[in-house]
Amino acid sequence: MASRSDIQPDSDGWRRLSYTCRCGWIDWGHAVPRGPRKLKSQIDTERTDWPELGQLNVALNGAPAYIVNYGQEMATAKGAIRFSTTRHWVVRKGLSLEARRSVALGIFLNASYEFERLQGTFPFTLVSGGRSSFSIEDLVSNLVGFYSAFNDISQARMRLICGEVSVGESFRIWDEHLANGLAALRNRTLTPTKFACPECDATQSDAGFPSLFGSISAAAPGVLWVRVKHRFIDGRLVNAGRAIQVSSDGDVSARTR
Amino acid sequence: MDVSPVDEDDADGNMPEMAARSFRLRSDARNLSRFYLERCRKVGLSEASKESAQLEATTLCEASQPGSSRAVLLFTDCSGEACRVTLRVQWLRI
Repeated sequence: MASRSDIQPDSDGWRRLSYTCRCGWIDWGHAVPRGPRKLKSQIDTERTDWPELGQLNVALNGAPAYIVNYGQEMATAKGAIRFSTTRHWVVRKGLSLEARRSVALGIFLNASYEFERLQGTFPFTLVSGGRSSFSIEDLVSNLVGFYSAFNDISQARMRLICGEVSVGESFRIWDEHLANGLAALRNRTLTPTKFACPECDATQSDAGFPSLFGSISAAAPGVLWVRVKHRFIDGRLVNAGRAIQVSSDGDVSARTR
Repeated sequence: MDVSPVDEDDADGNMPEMAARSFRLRSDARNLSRFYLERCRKVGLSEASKESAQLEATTLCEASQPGSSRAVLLFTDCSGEACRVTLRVQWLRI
């Protein structure tokens, strides 16, 4: 997870961690849009990037559907130890753009919460130390990355939207409030945790969380999408090319033709 | 030669695994971009899509396959006949 030294810009000027007036602390590594884009490309094309899965005849609650392969990953000790929450999700076909975005956010948040929750449980604490589970910047930073990918907004623009403060002010807020690091405080919500910030008071007329980040409502699981109950669809069904039925609670079964 | 250590960040949730390194080279920005794009192609990465370049302007090349995607970001800061070059690699395993 990000530490105080990440406030300092890298040699290419990239600032991994900064305080923002409207979004609180943002870990811009967590806000990288590459992961959500992988999800978006599958939702946009109604096709997973795994060819064998893309050819399956899938139904969700009896309606045509497709499989999405998505999750999040953690590694430590330079990649020597890894854990991943990648799993299969099943999504109804033929949805409107608005519904697709709602489904995507539902899946993204579900995966984000599962990842953060697992980070705090044994045996994953052996990797994470349990420290970074739901740290104050995690979920909001993820949300920024999601909207970056789905609204085609660059990270540079997102920094403006969130009202990024100077490097010096970020250090000042860290030193004043985060003596034990970001993980000392938890945030299980999608609402940023704010700190007193004179620079924000002087420069921002609106310190509210930007309405952009509430413009998509996450679809609840069950009707338009579900998590596959046992994480992955059984490879024997996939290899046999059997038509598959998935229920609203994620149970997978072979369909009778 | 003025070369930085490799700065590594392990994957963490939505964050891909990342590594960056900076160094100085006698060249100009256009030649560097061409040179590293050619290197990208040799290892199977394609020029950045329009969408990628819009989201992260320094994205030089990328590749996506089932279960994995990679991108190389190139940042140059040139003055006179030399440039400070930073190469950043993002590797996502989903």
